Amino acid sequence: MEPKNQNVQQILAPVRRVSAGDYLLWGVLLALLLTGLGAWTWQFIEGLGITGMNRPVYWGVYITNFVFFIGLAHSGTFISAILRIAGQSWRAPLTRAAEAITLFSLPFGAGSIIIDMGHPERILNVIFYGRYQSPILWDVTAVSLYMLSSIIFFYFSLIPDIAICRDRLTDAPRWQRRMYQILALGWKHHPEQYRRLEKVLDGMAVFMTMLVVTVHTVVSWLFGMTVQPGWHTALIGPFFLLGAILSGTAAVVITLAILRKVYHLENVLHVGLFNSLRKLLITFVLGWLYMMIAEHLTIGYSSMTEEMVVLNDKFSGTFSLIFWSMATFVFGLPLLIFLFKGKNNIGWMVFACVLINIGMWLERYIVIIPTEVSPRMLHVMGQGHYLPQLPEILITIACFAGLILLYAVFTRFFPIVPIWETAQELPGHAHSQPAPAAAASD
Amino acid sequence: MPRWGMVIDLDKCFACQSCTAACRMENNTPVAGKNQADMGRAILWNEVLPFIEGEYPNIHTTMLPRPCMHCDNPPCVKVCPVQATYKNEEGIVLVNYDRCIGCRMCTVACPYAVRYFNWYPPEWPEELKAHLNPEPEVQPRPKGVVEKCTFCFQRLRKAREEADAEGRPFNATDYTPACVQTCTGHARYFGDLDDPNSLVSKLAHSPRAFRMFEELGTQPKVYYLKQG
Amino acid sequence: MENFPSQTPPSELSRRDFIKFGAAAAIAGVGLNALQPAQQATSVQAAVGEETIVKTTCALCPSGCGLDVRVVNGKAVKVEGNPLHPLNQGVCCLRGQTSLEVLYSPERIQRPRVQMGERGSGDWKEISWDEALELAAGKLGELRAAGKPHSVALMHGELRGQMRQTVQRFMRAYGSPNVISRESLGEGAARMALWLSQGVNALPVYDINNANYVLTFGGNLLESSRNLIGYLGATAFMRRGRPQRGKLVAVHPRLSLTGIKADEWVPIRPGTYGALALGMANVIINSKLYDEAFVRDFTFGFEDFEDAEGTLHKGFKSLVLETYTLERVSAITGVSTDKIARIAGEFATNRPAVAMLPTEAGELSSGNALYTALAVHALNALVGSIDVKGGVLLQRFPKLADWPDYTLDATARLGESRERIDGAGSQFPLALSAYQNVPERILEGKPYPIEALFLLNANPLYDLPNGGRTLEALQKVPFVVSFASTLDESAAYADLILPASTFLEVWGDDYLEGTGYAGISLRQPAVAPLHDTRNPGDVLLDLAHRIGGNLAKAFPWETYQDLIMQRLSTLDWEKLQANGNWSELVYFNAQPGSPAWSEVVGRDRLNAPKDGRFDFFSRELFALLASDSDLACLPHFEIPPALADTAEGALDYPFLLVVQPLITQSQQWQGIVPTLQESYGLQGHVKWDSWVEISQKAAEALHLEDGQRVWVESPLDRVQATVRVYAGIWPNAVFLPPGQGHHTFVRWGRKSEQNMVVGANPNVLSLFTSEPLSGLAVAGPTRVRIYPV
Ligand SMILES: Nc1nc2c(c(=O)[nH]1)N[C@H]1C(S)=C(S)[C@@H](COP(=O)(O)OP(=O)(O)OC[C@H]3O[C@@H](n4cnc5c(=O)[nH]c(N)nc54)[C@H](O)[C@@H]3O)O[C@H]1N2
Ligand SMILES: Nc1nc2c(c(=O)[nH]1)N[C@H]1C(S)=C(S)[C@@H](COP(=O)(O)OP(=O)(O)OC[C@H]3O[C@@H](n4cnc5c(=O)[nH]c(N)nc54)[C@H](O)[C@@H]3O)O[C@H]1N2
Ligand code: SF4
Ligand code: SF4
Ligand code: SF4
Ligand code: SF4
Ligand code: SF4
Ligand SMILES: [Mo]
Repeated sequence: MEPKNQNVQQILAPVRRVSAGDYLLWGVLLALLLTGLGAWTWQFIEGLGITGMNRPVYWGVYITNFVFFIGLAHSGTFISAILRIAGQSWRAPLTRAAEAITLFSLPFGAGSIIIDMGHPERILNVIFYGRYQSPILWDVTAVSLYMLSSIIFFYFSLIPDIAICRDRLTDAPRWQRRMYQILALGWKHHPEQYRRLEKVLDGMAVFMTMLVVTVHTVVSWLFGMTVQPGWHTALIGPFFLLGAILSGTAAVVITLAILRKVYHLENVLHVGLFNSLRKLLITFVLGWLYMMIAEHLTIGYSSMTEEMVVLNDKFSGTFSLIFWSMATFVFGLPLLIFLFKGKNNIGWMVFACVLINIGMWLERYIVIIPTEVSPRMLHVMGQGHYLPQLPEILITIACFAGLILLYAVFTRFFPIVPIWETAQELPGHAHSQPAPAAAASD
Repeated sequence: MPRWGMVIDLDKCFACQSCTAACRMENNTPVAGKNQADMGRAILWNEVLPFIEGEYPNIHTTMLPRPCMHCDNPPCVKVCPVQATYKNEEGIVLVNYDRCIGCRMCTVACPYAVRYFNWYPPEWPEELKAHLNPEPEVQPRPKGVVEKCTFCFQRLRKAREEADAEGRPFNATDYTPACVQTCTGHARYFGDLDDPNSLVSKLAHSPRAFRMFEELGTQPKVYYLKQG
Repeated sequence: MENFPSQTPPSELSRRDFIKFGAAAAIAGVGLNALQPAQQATSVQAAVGEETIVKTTCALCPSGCGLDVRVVNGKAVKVEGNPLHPLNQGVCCLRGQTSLEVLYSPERIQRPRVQMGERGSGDWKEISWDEALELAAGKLGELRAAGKPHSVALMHGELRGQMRQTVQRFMRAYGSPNVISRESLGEGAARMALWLSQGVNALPVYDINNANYVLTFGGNLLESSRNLIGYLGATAFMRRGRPQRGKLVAVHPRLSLTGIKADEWVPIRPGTYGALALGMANVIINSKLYDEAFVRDFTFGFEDFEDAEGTLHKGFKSLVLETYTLERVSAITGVSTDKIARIAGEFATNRPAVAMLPTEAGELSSGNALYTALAVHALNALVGSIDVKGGVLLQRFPKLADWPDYTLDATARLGESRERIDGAGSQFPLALSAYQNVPERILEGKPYPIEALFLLNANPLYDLPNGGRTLEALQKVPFVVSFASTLDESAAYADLILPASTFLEVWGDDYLEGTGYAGISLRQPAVAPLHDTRNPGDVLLDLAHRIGGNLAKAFPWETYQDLIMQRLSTLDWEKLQANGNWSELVYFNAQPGSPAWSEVVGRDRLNAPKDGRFDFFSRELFALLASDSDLACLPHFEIPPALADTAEGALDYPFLLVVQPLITQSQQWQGIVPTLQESYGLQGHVKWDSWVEISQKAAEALHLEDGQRVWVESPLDRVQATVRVYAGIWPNAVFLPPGQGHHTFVRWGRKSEQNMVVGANPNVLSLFTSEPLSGLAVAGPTRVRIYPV
């Protein structure tokens, strides 16, 4: 017999039917995705010349996207893995929503690297001739490992719910039922099965947590390992990591809010969750701010010439506008909102989190571009300049569209809130979730 | 096994850019044209970099001809994920154009900005293709790969072949890169840094000798001799 | 650290491996897949074929370097300096390097063409050489028959080797005095200064190899001098090639590459070199630092003197001491008194020292070119640097076979006696030619209308647009023929174009100038003419034969190559061909007073005694002018009114325009040379464009930012350029690079325009007039103002 969960109806409701609205949304997103694909084909034929990249700005928004999406990906692993280890049981309802973000943003993160390549068709050379000193190779390895394990992690925790769908959604189209059939791997809801599952997931959680740290540090080393001003700092690793978790968590808040509204999951995804996330976010924002200050103070204080050029460019120069709006979006406004407006107010929370993610994208941009614009040879080469061109914009949009599309489709075929993890009683042993109120208690 | 290196005497260099032109004519770097040049995409393996400081009338200038430094500890090689960039046994840093995946990690990593990316397929007005150097090593590079100064290694091959053909042992002085050969100020020297008797190794040890960004530990094999 | 050899191509590659590797690269070049068609384009010659080296002589500047052209499968693929050439000794400048882009330029005119519609309408019809030459010969014959051969004029630019005499011989035998050399725009000043003082009609050669102190007045010796390659090598030698390091001081309003690379840059108010030279003379004389023996025994007019009629004349010494006091000179030139004193001292005490003239008066020739040049050259006499090691040498020339005699027929003799159209010899008694005066004279129809104009290696419409007057003049001439190899500004308005082959396709020669000692450099075709073009020399021969009569007799050669071979028959032709050049390789300095000395001082005097004395007081001028003013015979300096910052117009047009050739600017070739464009503006990182250098002060005053587009406007016209705030420029001057502003019909590189004008031509800003006596061009001072676009 399956887990007892009084919300099961609610949770399964979205999975029951695909509305015309859905098809419309999917259509639009698909169109955007295809436009991006077109742009990429165009770029493949013409050459990267059609982008705004040049010398010395060899890297542009593609690499920015890479860092950003990988960062976004950390949401899931953080919520489910790290909080799992920390034994934060209140997280249960939002694990899957979060992990889904991980799963669906990773491809676009990894993809961005390939899109940025002059010879994507030679990608396999990385395997044939790989050189392990190259940060790029570290990235490739770490990211693919990360992708693989999150798929497994995600899938495992999904199995019991698939089984539930298999048993309950008997009115679904044949292919759908077949799909559940197969994916459920004949899950029988044996108590033993659950014990095993929990064990595996706990184990993996540890591994995943380590991966999260590695992956984003490695991503940052793409820059840190060069001797370029503004990049060549030990702090860049933790800095990137924290940023990643921040934007990831913010993304979770946004998604939850939306799911909650459109799928009427109000009392599954109750305000309590948002309040808990709010506390986390405040911590992260402050942590991020600390890194930010530490980073720039060390550079500014040493006032080494090349470094200062870049710094001034951010603070008062060409990039000051982006820099300061970044600071306001990631830190200024959100902190105020969280402190004074966010509590029990999902609307404000979402607003702040949207700001944070815009800000975090800008943050990636502002880390990468200014350094390239003012390389070591600046004084003899002259200032570089960079303006993203149409293909870059189209492809960036496509990446976001793709992420949303995958997400939207997924939620129509699988329960986005884990039924078994939020169950009051699991087969075999009566283990019951803390009452929603408890989690919400402040 | 020789260790090839170059010495440039800034006191005899007149920033005439003949080296720049010679390099292009020898190595078939394409014409960028106004539009691409304005975007900073002109490909000139050996640029003369003007360093002009100070206020009128007290001005300090350094004109720095900059080929690839062929670092003994080359950052570009370390970061290349597919070993398309490599340093051969004679210390020459080269790019394998049909392996390069165009990730531009090396261009970002090179502190001397000597690496150039082919944003577009190279192109010349039809008539101009007639003068392209036919040596196999310098066939125009396809779009999407990185290229840079090679110390004219096609000339090394030819020098060795000539020596063989004439049945005499190959001598380091048989090999002269194009920029060195044409240098109007006779300011460029080239040879085997490991041979203590070679002119380059002598000059490299002169008190006037210095290397660019020595502090980065890249150990360039291109030495400069101070002005004045 | 090291890469795994197994995975990267080994370094010790056999040729076979290399072909593989290279071929692979080539394949990659051919395009990885059909999606990349543009790459087929790049798959040129697959493998290397049989190879030859052709020795010839560069013609892209007056240096005339020896070149080794590498020819593979009939295609010229690389140019190197000829190691056996005494001038460039195996090196070659970037213009020589890129000469293949000239040879294979898509801009070239490929066969003769006539203008069908309006002049300048661009409505061309290509015709055969036979038709073209018939057309030209017909016209010439017609005019000759009508008894007005003098109404034919030929304007020419740099002519090398035998070409100059060939042209003169042609016009003389034809019956026209109107061979007009571009010289008045450039080297004329230096040549004339030498003639009037030293008494030799020649360009100076400066022995930098042996000089201890080199002072250049504007002459951009490391960037654009007539002996560019020689001076580059010599300066390097002066610094590092010999035990004692010499010093190079560059006087110029703008920090050119010469200034940058000199040991000292002396910024000076534009156009006031003469004053500085005289100020230095003042110091040197005052402190008795001059070479007293030399001045006493081998110069004239240093002290005041009495002439045959017993009238007292002022000498150089008293003029200088009275008029050019440090304070006054400093006020004129803007160079501080102690700096002037210091440099004068260094100059006089670090002998051998030499004061260099620019052979190109450039933009700034401010109506005082002649006397400025005299003043500068006087310094050399003061320190006894005439024909000594490290001083001023005289170019010697080899003895060549005589030109065969011929007789001038009546028509020719009559024509020869006519006044020259440019006023040289009449309006300008000292001038050999006055290029810039031709348009005005044509418009006035003085002294007689011009019926036909030939442009040989000359582009007056570009050099001196004079606000459209030159175009008017060109339009007024019924028949205009151009030998241009590209459709340059003037050629566009011609009726007939007889396209010249480039120097890499023709036979020719070049006097080995710049070393001092006699020599010849041979020009032989590296490749057969690519297009249906011809050597202007051959064209003239052909025309002569078609016109016939005495003209034909004057040119008994089938081809220009025959002419060359006959003229050079006194030399060892085998060696000449094998080495590409022949020369004496030694320069014998003439002992003052020795018989050889009379070759060096006074040789070419007409009215003044050939007494081997260097004239501070020019007796040639005295005789010519019969003037009662001594000043007219002495080096002196009046500040041109327009130069003073108080000049009227100085308020509306506050800046003085400085223009000076860049090393990246090719003169003999006015088509677009892409690689030169891509290394064009070194100091300002400017490619494929013009820029205007302004001082920090000016930038602040006008609130202009580096990189901004501005108009540079003179009373005459205006041009657009990008601002470069440059520390190395006289605060009240602005610099524009010459050589830009040409039209290109080719699409150079991705996304560039098919059909555009590259940069702007600074010449449109200046009004080119003539100096009274010398007929030298006066292009300035040109005052301009600057405002944002
Ligand atoms: N790269 C390059 N090289 C060239 C050329 C070229 O176009 N490009 N042109 C070739 C030719 S044809 C020539 S003639 C030579 C010329 O080359 P140079 O003899 O070196 O002449 P410029 O370098 O033009 O120097 C011109 C300077 O003369 C100074 N000047 C102006 N007016 C006067 C005056 O009245 N008296 C004196 N004493 N100085 C004055 C000004 O400062 C002006 O900048 O260069 C040759 N070499
Ligand atoms: N503002 C300013 N103006 C100047 C000067 C300056 O310093 N400043 N310098 C003056 C001096 S010194 C000079 S020498 C002149 C040079 O200026 P110009 O003599 O006008 O220019 P060039 O490039 O020497 O040659 C003129 C034309 O000859 C044609 N031509 C090029 N190569 C060949 C060839 O091989 N054969 C034939 N038949 N024609 C060819 C080209 O079409 C070109 O347009 O400029 C003078 N004008
Ligand atoms: S060719 Fe020689 S002199 Fe000219 S810039 Fe290059 S290094 Fe300097
Ligand atoms: S200079 Fe740059 S490209 Fe050349 S070896 Fe060093 S790092 Fe590599
Ligand atoms: S661009 Fe090519 S050479 Fe450079 S790192 Fe990437 S693969 Fe290696
Ligand atoms: S060595 Fe060869 S490749 Fe390198 S800069 Fe000189 S000419 Fe160019
Ligand atoms: S210096 Fe003059 S002659 Fe010599 S290569 Fe350069 S352009 Fe030709
Ligand atoms: Mo000239």
